[in-house]
Amino acid sequence: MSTLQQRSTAPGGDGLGYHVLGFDNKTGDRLELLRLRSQFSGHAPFDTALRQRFRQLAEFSDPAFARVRQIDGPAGASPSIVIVSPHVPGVRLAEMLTVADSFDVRIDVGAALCLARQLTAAIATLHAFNDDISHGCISPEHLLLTAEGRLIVTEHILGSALEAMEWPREKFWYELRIVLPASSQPAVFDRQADIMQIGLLTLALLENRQVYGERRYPLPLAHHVAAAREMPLDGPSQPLSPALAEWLTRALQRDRASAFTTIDAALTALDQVIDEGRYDARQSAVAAFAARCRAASPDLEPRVPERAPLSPRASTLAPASPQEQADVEFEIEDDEEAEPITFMPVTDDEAVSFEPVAFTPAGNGNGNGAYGSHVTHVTPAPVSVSSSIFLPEDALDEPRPDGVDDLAPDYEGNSLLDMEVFVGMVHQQKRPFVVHVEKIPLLLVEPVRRAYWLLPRQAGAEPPSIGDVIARLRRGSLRYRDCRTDDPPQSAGFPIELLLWNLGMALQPDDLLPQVKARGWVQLTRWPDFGRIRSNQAQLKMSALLTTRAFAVDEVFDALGEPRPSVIAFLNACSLCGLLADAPVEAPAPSVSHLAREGRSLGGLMQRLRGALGIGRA
Amino acid sequence: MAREYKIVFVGSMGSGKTTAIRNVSDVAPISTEVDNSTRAEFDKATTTVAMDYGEVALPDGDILRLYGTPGQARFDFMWKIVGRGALGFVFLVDNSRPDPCQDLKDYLDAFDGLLNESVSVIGIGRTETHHAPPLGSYFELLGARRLNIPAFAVDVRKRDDVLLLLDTLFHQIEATTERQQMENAG
Repeated sequence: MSTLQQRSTAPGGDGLGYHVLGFDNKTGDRLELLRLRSQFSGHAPFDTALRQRFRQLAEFSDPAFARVRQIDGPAGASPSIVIVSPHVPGVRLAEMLTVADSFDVRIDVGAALCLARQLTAAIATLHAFNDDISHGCISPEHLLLTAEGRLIVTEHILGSALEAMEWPREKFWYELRIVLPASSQPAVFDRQADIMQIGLLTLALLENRQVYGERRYPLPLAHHVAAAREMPLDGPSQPLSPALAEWLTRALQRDRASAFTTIDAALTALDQVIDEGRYDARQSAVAAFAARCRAASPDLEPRVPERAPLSPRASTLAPASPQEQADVEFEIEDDEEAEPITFMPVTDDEAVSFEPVAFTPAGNGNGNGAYGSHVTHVTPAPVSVSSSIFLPEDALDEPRPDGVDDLAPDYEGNSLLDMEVFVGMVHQQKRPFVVHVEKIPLLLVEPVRRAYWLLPRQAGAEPPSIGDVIARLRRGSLRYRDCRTDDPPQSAGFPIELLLWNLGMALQPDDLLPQVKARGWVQLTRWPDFGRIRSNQAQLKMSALLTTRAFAVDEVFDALGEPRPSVIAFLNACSLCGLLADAPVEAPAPSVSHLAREGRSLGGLMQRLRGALGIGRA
Repeated sequence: MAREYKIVFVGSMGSGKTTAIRNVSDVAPISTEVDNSTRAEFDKATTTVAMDYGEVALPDGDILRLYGTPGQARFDFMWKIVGRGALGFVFLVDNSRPDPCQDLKDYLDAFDGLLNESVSVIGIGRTETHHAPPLGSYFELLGARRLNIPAFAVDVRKRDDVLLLLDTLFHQIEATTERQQMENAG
């Protein structure tokens, strides 16, 4: 499975964040939102550059682009920057290519070149608008394909912001599949980068997307160009024509002397290739390709967000007694004037039945409306937390790595988005917040202290069990409310890593989470805190191996030598705990050569030591 | 001929080295403790001036020796001596100390050269009663130094927690050996 395909299977997500559809309640406009990952939202230079580019392009309007309407957040309970665009009916090219890959739908050379031509022309328009403007992150995830075969460029304001991250080029590739021209200088998202990214996308279309699965960087582009084939609608494939191969080579900047220096030059040359090769690169070829994909997978029909009924604004909290309020009191932030907007996942198969997640503009004072806030259905009622609601310590020993069958079996894939938001809140939010599930307050989370407290359904009631909490979290439909930090709980609470770990162990035991698969490889940034999390021998072994080096997802099951369900549960849990590395790291490993030098065999020694110490016995 | 292996427990005074060794040793641990000359800083009547010692007998006559190093900085000359040739190090940190992260930094500095030759694990104690610094501070410290050392919240009064620390060393040794074999083969 190519990396592109793996990335595309994430529900509405890509390396930058994830997409949701929604409405502006004031205007009724359908919207598409890209909620960015925390590492971008939390980086001030990124934010600054993004807003500057947004202002630069405020007057830019072209049918080939989905205009960015506004940028919201991060503010209040929303930890993310959200890029808001009008919704354009269509399917992300990444999704289309995934279907083509899965159902063996041929991308004929005519359709491929038509897509390349449309993209090049669109970027030429962007470059012509302003001398300083480039796109920067051209990839299938940021291109829409309409039913008529028209290509729409989206999220075109990100280039300079990504440049502000000052990542090495390798990281841009491993994280975002963004390729950048080689140089000894820091990565620059300029027009040459745009040309190279167009070349890479064209190459990917011609060689069945293999290059996006490439784990080597710098990319072995010569190899990929040589492997690319022209695929007619019928009949056998054939090598690229010399003219097309040359165009690719020049676009990919393989030789600086012959590389295209302007997008116009690339467009002119591409037109010549198409004309001289007599390729059927009309838009109808793309439409036919899209139709074949839809025939293979009806789910690809462009999904139009429908206005969902707004949930009634109501308090679900039982009034707390004065005594309880005296213990610890958190006041919910409120914005009575806020108008909720409803969103639903854009790419999930079950999106139609997915209960819309309601977001409320929080009025963060930045003038952008802050669509990204998770504060919903707020009430001024305080949430009371006292030590009497804590789960008994011995109950925390119960969750078992293999205990997922004990939990509610009604897991639905579409709750993954809710789960992603919950985990994002835990890792990104700075202030305490309360998690509600089905209108019931369930958890108080204190992200800075990395702790959580269980909340009773009613004052004086028994707190839920950890198994019940996990089952409720898995069902989704989560709501969040901010709390003040003035008077945090005095007790330690429970380690949030413990909750996330058990949640991960309980998720999708038959497969890796999409965000794990999407990485293409896995490596741990550190060991889980096995002092608090009950571990077994397999988990210790996997931790030791995965902190030492990165493994490709495809090979990790064999490499770890553990049963597949154990590996899946372990990696899912590590993912939720935020333990998977953002980029492969060559971890310094200690040498144990002094033992070997002394002629000692380590082969059976560790097992003998375990035996002598009674480690691993039931 | 019987072989001997060595694991070294390192930690500040009161971090639980003696307790940890006592918890897993086959023999009554030998501790050479004398009056604490720094009572103003540490509320402990005695402290280890030489080292703690315990051992675990392996079935074939081999022995795993467990050493606890002196906890005071004035004995730091001994740390490298006792650490040489060790299978691994167990660093014990007392979270109730005034600046436990600095304690860990001091030990990591002192054992800098040996960390490249042996595996290590960090056990952080008294986190239940002293919430700060959070474990994240230790993770950040290790990350800043690019040290791939596991760190767990533990209570070394519990035998299982001590065994977790030791088993973590064993798994790291196995993983490191496997990696070296792969690199040699590749």
